[in-house]
Amino acid sequence: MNFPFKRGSEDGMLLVEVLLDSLTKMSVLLDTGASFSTFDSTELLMAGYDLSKPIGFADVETAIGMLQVEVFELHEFTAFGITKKNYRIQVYDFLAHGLLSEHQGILGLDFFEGTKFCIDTVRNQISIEPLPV
Amino acid sequence: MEEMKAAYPGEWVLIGDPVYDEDDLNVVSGILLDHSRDKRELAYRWRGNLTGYKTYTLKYVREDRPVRQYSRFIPLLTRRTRIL
Repeated sequence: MNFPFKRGSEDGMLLVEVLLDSLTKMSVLLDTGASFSTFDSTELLMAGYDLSKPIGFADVETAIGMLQVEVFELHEFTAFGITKKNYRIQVYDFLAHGLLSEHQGILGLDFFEGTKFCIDTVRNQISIEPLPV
Repeated sequence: MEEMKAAYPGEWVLIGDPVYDEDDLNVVSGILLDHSRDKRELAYRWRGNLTGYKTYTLKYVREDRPVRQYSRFIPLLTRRTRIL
């Protein structure tokens, strides 16, 4: 299956629309260099998640040092026609850390585990297919 | 959507039942529910109150000035080193 993405007007980032719990649509960056998906905590707050109850924490190595993020489990998450239940994500308070971005998170490589995918930067589309286990 | 962009530059707009273009990438219309420069304020105001809509989305209305934020953003999320 082929799915289109759009490019950020200034920097060429790959932006895709994803769906959280069949209700919340978000624009996120597609970043295969990120090991795990990470979303803005405000999005989870709005979707009704209790931010005081993460299932865990994780340290993340960044270019500016180590950061601690919270880990949550989403009830349902959909991107590129693939729906995952109990999908674990990292959550970070973008606003509190001065990240005033218009996108609401990063879709990391973990989402693509068990799939074969190809990013076409000419047609601006990604083809993705699940692989048999 | 163009009216929202004109009316609320530099703000977040909360859109109920957004309608997307055929590529499912850009909102072309929807119900304007609220707007604010403070995204978190919208979240506190509306959390749990959006079940009457099939979907909703928060969109930032860009002002007409160049922004390059990826270099600040990407370092966040490269490698998880330890699960606590």
